[in-house]
Amino acid sequence: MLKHFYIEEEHRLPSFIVIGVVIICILPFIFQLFGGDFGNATHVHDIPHHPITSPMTTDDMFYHLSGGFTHALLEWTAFSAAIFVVLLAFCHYSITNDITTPVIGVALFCAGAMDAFHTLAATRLISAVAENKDLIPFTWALSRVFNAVIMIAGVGLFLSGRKTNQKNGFKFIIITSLVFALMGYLLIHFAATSSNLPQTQFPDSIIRRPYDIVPLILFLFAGLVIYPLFAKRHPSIFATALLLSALPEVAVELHMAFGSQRLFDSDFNIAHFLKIIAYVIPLVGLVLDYIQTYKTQIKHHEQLKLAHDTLNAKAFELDRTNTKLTQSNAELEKFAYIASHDLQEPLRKIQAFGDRLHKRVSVIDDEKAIDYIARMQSSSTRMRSLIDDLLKFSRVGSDEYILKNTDLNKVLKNVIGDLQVSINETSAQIHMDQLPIIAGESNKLYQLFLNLLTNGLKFSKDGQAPIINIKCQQVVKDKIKYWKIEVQDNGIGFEQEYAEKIFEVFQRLHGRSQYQGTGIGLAICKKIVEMHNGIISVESELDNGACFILLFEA
Amino acid sequence: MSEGLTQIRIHMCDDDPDDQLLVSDALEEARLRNPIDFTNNGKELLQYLNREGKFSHLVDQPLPGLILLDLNMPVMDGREVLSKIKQHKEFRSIPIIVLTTSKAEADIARTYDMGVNSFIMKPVSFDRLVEMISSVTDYWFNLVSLPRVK
Repeated sequence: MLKHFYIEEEHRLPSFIVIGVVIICILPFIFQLFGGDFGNATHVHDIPHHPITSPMTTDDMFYHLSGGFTHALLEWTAFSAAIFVVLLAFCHYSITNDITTPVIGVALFCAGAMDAFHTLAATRLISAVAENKDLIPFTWALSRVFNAVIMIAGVGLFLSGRKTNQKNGFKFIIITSLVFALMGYLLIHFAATSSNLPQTQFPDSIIRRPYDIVPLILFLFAGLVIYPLFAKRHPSIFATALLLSALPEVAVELHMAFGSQRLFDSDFNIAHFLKIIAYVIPLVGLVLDYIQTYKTQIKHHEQLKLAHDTLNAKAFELDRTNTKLTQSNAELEKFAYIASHDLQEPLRKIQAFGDRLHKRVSVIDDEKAIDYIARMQSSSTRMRSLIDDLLKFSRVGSDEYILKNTDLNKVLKNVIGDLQVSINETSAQIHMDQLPIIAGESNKLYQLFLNLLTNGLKFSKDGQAPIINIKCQQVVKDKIKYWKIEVQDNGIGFEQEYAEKIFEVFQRLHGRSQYQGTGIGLAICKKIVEMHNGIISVESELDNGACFILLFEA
Repeated sequence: MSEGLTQIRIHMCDDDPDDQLLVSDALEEARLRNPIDFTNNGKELLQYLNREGKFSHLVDQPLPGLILLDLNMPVMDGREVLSKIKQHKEFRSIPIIVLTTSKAEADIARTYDMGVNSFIMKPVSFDRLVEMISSVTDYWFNLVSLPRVK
């Protein structure tokens, strides 16, 4: 049972409000127990006893009407609260798009409008046929029943479990409001125009106003079943406030059904006062809901701002790291360039003076000396080519790449054309698929394929003409489309374990006497492919050819 | 090779003593008897041409018929002195050959723009250097007609 009334912490009303409402509901009753009286001393039946001949002063008139005034003021306060509820409820809807609040707000407003009609009829501001002693209790009971029924209906609409979608939400609100308003008007109209209203007050019985038993039961039903279910299904502070409002509503009916003996007596006034409380509580609930919505939004905003700031800081950091990396990379390449450039200078001297020495020594006929010098000379020649290659390699990495649409068929045609001499010498065959157009730097792509084809021609098997197949297909890797270009030869190949190593600078798998070169070619290839955002790899087997695989983004 | 031409003087402006030695060796190897003298930077070269300072004693000597000029030197580099010489009314007709290790495109373009007569990379081997000296002297001293230098 308690679980039935359990409200999530974020949807609870502040405890001082709950306690305050409970105290307000009980306090008048306790006051009465100790002899307190909230009633109006003068009631309507006293008026005829005054001599008609002695004209009443204005003050007297007001004294006589004090009960009616009190009644009107209390009712009108309740009605005003209902107006604020419906206004706030529509504001709430415009912010949250939650249709429950306006529909219930409208229900409450219709109940309030009913109270207003009841008051206007009682004060005779609109003409009514029946006597006030009958009209007031009857329309009161009517409006209370209507109040209870319309609230149960309004709230009950949202218990069906069927979710009304937002698009139809507004339409739904309008239709519901019209239905409620029409029902309210018809009931009041009936009461005001009917001269024969049934007896509603029985001062001598225990249940002094039996008509108020119906709203009592209805409000008990709402407070114990409907409102808790609603608060469970559509949890909000407003729903909680609605649930709490059942308490004064029930208290109102208790005072009326079991307390009030006549118009404007103590129980009558207490009941009317408590009704204001019953209307104000949902209003408080809506206001608190606002505050909560606003606070949540501020919190979200702050969290968002924090996340945004964190993200910005990270992006900044990344940018800085990137700049640093680019800088250090550029510095490294510059260093390689300058170092190798400056190394050339002393090397040139070694070679030149070596030449001079060689000439002089050859005259004195010392074979060993001549051999030593020849070795020095060949080493310095080799060092020169290493430095030259290092320079080339560093240029490949430091040059600016402007990637333009480049037809690889044209590139390969140029490469094959320039290799024609060695192709003829080795009787090589080159087969080529139709190749794509990729975003690239044509000079660098030329160098790439020149190096790869030169390799294929160079590392051929003894007595076997090189065959090079260039294949192309489109593949997808990590959801990115690539052109996969394979350059396959039938040469000496190598063990797969060296597949990574051969792309490193100056890495060679064979003796210099066997195959010429410094070992820079494939390192340059790798660099060029990487500068095109591509991937290069190789698959090979000893004595079984090698297949270089290039991936370029399609 | 006529006797009179051996008198034409070559001048080399280069801060590297090794290169100075190699060039004089190459002249010898090529059996050329042209006298050669050296300065170490652009400022010295200007003093030499103007016969100023430590070169004032050379006031009666004729100006060189060919200048070999390095680009990268301290105090005043080859580019600066080249532009000064090529703006000089008297010196501008002396053929200047830039002989350098630089192969930067920018240097080639710029020095020709300033009026250099040839741009040659320092040869790697001594034999090539000898060949170069032979052909350059043959071209400028035998083949080409130049205005008379005071």
